[in-house]
Amino acid sequence: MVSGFVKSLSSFAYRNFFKKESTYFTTIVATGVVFSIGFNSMFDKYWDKKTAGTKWEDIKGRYVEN
Amino acid sequence: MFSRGSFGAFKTAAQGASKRFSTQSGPSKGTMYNALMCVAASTATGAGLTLYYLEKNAASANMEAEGLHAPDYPFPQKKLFGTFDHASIRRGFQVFKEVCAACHSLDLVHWRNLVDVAYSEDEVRAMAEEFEYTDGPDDSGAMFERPGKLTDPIPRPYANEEAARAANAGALPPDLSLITKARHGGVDYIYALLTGYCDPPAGVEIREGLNYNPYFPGGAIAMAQNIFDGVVEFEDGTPNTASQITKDVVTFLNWAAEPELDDRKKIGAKALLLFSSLTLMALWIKRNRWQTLKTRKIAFNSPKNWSSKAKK
Repeated sequence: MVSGFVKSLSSFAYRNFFKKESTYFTTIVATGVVFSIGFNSMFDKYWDKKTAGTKWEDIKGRYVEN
Repeated sequence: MFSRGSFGAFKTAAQGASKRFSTQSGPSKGTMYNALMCVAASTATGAGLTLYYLEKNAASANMEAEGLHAPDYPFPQKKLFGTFDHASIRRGFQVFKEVCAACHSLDLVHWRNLVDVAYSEDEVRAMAEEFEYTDGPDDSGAMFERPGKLTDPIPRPYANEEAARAANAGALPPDLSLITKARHGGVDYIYALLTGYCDPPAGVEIREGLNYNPYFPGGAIAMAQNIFDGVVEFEDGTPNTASQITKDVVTFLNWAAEPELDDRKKIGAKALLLFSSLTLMALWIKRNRWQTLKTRKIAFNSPKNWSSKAKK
């Protein structure tokens, strides 16, 4: 059953990640790092699309000879 | 202000009285009280706000002392998540250099601030080298002139305030590094001011040497109109109408005052997103954890013999 799976999933998570303080802390930090990288890259991609054509990087090509 | 507790006590007292002696068949005294309180509160709020804004926007015979209120122009960087148009900043710096730098200083902006904002590093170096800066002392103790570097500030037209006043009939052209933050109305005011020169209305006398501008507090400004159609030629081919030139120079001045705007808006959007999500999560988790406490029942089983005799 779905609820049984959820229960065993949360039990698994509790026993392996949340029970000991050391693993709990590691989980928190690791989740923070992964979330930070993922959120920032996704948001920056969205923001760059939203401000396309207005930033220096977009008009740079006209003025810099590489 | 009014906690749920105090309102509740008031309400129960009113309702208690009505339960015993009420002759009303319509809404109970409780709901009547609520409705009256709402009406009173909204009337008070509405009246208070009305009086406040009437006082704030009062018309008077001396409104030219405040200056005409500038319209709301659609600069993209004014919007909540809007950022600068850097091509406009580039054109604006060209306008500043050719038109405004003759009288106005820009002390807080250095050549290096322009790199990767509106110009490439090589372009800025070339622009800086066109100017001479005093440096030194050298080994013999004398000061010497050298071409500009990236670390130098944008050159000043006058060495000091006295020289500026002497060259401008006693008026000091203000430094423009922070002007859009330093004037009420910001970019709208600067744009309206630069495009707002007109003949004074009938009966208004402007003394010799001053110019009429309705947006300037008092109406008489020492600066003459400097921006006309075609006064600057843009290298990217943008039509050089007076309004385009003004829009670009105002955008440049806004950047000079708020160079962090692009980053600030991006970080602000991220912060709003994260904090609102975390707040909603926190509210839900709190209510979830408190459910057990808030829904528990406490049962009292009274003892069978209430004996006043002390136990032996």
